[in-house]
Amino acid sequence: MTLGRHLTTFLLIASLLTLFMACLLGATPLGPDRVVQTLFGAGTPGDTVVIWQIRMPRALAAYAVGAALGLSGAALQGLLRNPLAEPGVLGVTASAALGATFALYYGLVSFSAWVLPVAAISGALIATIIIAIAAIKVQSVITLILIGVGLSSFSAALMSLLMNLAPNPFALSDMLNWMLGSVANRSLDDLYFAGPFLAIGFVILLATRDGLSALTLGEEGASGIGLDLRRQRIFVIIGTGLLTGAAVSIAGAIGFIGIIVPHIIRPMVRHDPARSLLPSALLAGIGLVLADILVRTVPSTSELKLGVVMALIGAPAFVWIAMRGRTLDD
Amino acid sequence: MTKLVASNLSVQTKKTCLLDDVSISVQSGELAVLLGPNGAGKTTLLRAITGLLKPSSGGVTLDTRPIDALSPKRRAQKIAYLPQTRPLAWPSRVIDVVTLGRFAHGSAIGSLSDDDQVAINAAIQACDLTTLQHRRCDTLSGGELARVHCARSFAAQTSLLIADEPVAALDPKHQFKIMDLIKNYVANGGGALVVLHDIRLAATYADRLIWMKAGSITADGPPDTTLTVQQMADTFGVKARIENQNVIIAGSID
Repeated sequence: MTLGRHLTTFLLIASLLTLFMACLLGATPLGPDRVVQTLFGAGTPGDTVVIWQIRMPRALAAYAVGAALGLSGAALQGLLRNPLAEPGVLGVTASAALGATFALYYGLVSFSAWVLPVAAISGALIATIIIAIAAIKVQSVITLILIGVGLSSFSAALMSLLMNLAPNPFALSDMLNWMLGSVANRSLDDLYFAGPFLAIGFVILLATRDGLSALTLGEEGASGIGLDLRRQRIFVIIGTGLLTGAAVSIAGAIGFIGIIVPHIIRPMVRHDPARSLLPSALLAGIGLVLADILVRTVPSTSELKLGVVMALIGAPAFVWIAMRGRTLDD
Repeated sequence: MTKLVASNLSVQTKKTCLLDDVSISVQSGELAVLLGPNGAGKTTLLRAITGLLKPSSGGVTLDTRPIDALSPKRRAQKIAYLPQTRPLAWPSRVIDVVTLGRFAHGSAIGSLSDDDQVAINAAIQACDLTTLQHRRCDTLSGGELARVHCARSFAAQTSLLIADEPVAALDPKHQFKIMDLIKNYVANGGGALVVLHDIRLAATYADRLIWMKAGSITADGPPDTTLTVQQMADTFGVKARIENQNVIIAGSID
């Protein structure tokens, strides 16, 4: 419908503007003219380094992570038919961070650059599979969220254990970075290795879109109108596992963006899960880039972590959505 | 002409037998009503014959083809199934819910063919939803919501409709309205199998009554022959008087 298309176009333009803005702002402000010149390859060597090595990779990383988490959140909410479902709340992010921490702790990352994304994605998939199996057995979404809380706590405990046993302060601070979540000092390489997983996850989730709409009628109603429920579940799980895992391998654990953004988008697309997917991804990308600009430009002695800022904004929003949650107990 | 035939269906869980050797058929042009007390296995039977539940033994064929050989979408193009509980996860618009009825035809909101549009408009008109089509479903009354769900199953343009208590919790007027819609659907060539708890309503509308108790079918035939005092006592455990097509239930037997 035109409604969704206009929204998508608008958000695409806004995305480009936000990325451009991320190149403008920072410790040394660059004027738009210098940024444009540099983007088209005619900048001074200094500007080229600032934009192509520092700001652009960081902004793109934030955008990719945001889009991945926003899309995962929207898809999980459609699958579980609950506005509170999100990779962070369901423990998927924490498990992915555990996978990444594990790989870092045992120095597995030195074997290949693919180890980190694969480890994070494995963690994410394990959590999504547990949630999905639970979703078949228990009908109550509250139980599911409690299982997510349990998964989160358990992953956090294991990460604490790894930190407890950390051989040296450097390993410790490395792991702490993953737990807090940040896109500082990301290069295009980090994106390159997460890229294929992001792309596959993105395509898979977009392919499940009509099935998510069908699930508006509940699982039995959706099967009644011809949805292959098993396949739908498996695809959403694999898609969100890939996206969340890849996002965590770039930025560590960043929560709540996947819950807030679809919540904003849904009323604009008449509460249709299918049409909320793409706009949620775009808006979450924009949101995370903006939050990262905030992190970079707020004067503070040591740089704020993006994950911390998102949690500070996101946790109260989560409580607010839960308190209004009409659909929580269906 | 479409015919759904179930032969010797049994559904067994670990401890209990939900369906015991049940054979039943539904075809175009007839309105069959399934009657039975709570827990008789009516919903299990509907789920089994629509292919949503795999029976422990026995088989279901749709126009002589085994139903499990059809993909979920192909099956849903032939049979519309209206489950007993009809939750709506989101506060969707009426028109969007009716559009979901076209899912089996590969259609989605925003990408509708002319056929889809015609089917949706016809369903909305048949169910008298024209003025409500842009309303959010969470603002509708129970009767209006029941019409929305009927409309979405009609929009699928299937040759069979299987409905599990479509008039539950509706006031008498709306019960008649919904049954009129289903009767009209049958008059236009469809075939329907409907679970009802109101015997009088069943006797008024049904071409055939199918009586179920404890996982088995105890009688299957037109109201004239199967609606008897004895049948009411055996199936529901109630004392009843039957005058013409009017059933008066005097009370429980024990």
